[in-house]
Amino acid sequence: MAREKYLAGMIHWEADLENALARAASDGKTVLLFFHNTD
Amino acid sequence: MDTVTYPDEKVVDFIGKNVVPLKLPYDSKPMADDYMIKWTPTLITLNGGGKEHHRTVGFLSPEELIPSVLLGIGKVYFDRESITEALTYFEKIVREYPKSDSTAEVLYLKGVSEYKNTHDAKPLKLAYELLQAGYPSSVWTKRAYPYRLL
Repeated sequence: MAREKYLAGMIHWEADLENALARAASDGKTVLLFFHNTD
Repeated sequence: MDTVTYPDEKVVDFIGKNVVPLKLPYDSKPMADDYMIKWTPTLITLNGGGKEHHRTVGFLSPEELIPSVLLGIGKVYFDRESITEALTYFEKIVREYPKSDSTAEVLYLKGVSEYKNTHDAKPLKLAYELLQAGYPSSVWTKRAYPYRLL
């Protein structure tokens, strides 16, 4: 239950652009691409 | 943004319901080159074909991220001339986030969208009047300046 609550409180990022675009096309959504610093 | 914006409950809920999110290091190849990433954080709204429609560079608080992403979605519809759908997003931002940093651009695009839908110039003039009243120093007020004469 605690793990489910923890996971529910997180953004579920897609693994790569190809998957993100495929899901966006099938769900009728847009892709939000977030580039971040790795530090 | 990882410590402030992305853990925010409203942001998590909003992202989950409205967009497909993808997080990449700034030097990911070939995407960083394809999208000309020069600074972080950079957020880009893409349509289903991978074409860019909206971009922000720099930190966004939870209160600013949601209207900015809504604007991005609205611009995807606006750019494909799906004006009625674009207006639903622009109107939502004006209604729910009237003080956001995105709202001046939204008022401009809302006026343009209403003009495209009706071919009546009144929405353009109204957009200028709303911008002048609420956002007098915004670049979008300057861009709407000619519409005062309509």
